[in-house]
Amino acid sequence: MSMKNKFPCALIFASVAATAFAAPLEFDFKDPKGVNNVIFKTDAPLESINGTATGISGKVTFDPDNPGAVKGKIVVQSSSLHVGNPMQKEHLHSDKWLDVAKYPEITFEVESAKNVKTEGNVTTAEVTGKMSLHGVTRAITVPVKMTFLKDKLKARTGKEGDLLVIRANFKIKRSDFAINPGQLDDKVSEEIELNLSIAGAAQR
Amino acid sequence: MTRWQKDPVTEIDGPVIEKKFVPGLDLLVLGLSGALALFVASLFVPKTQNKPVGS
Repeated sequence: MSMKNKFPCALIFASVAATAFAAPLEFDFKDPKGVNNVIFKTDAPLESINGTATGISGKVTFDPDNPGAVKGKIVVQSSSLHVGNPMQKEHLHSDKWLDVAKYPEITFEVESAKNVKTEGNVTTAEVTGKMSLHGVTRAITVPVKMTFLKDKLKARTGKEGDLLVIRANFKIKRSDFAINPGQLDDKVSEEIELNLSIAGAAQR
Repeated sequence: MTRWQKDPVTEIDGPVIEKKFVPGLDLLVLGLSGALALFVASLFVPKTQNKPVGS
């Protein structure tokens, strides 16, 4: 191959390689270790209830070179919502509250991110998306912290790849999602605090 | 019972839900039922006459 032919080939190879490295990574949030969780808290005058949800799945596309372009969807199985008191759990799952039989999934679909700041491998942003809960879909904005752990999947599962840890703490109003609006406010607060801690894997 | 365990790589505190017997109302009801059963059984046991000493 002459020098004249080599140059375009090298150029094409370089551009393909650059595209490959710049490609966003798709992280799968179905955690085989079951560590991913959402903590929910209600603090009403008569009762304070803390619970967890662990049935988490979904996929998020994240580009370490362009974190603001984050997209994806996180799904929580409604039936995985757990509180320590079996009677409270039964009530929570019943048709009087979340009706998990009728609405089996709680979802958050990312649409856009603003105020994106990155320091090292940590990105903070205000992420706007559509949250669906109890059959109601609303646009909400939540502050999110994303930590990109390059090549750390091996330390966790033995497979080559990266991890993305997402943390978000925010509040929703149950009346916004038609969950017994105006009822039993002395036992279940109008504002429900949600703490999301999830890790997704992008295998190579 | 929910026990929290930190993942060493992601540093996420994850819940581990364990089924464990926690004594509560069920234990109280069991104890009271046992006591009631003993009381009812005692009604059917004939009284023993104490003989005076030295007769």
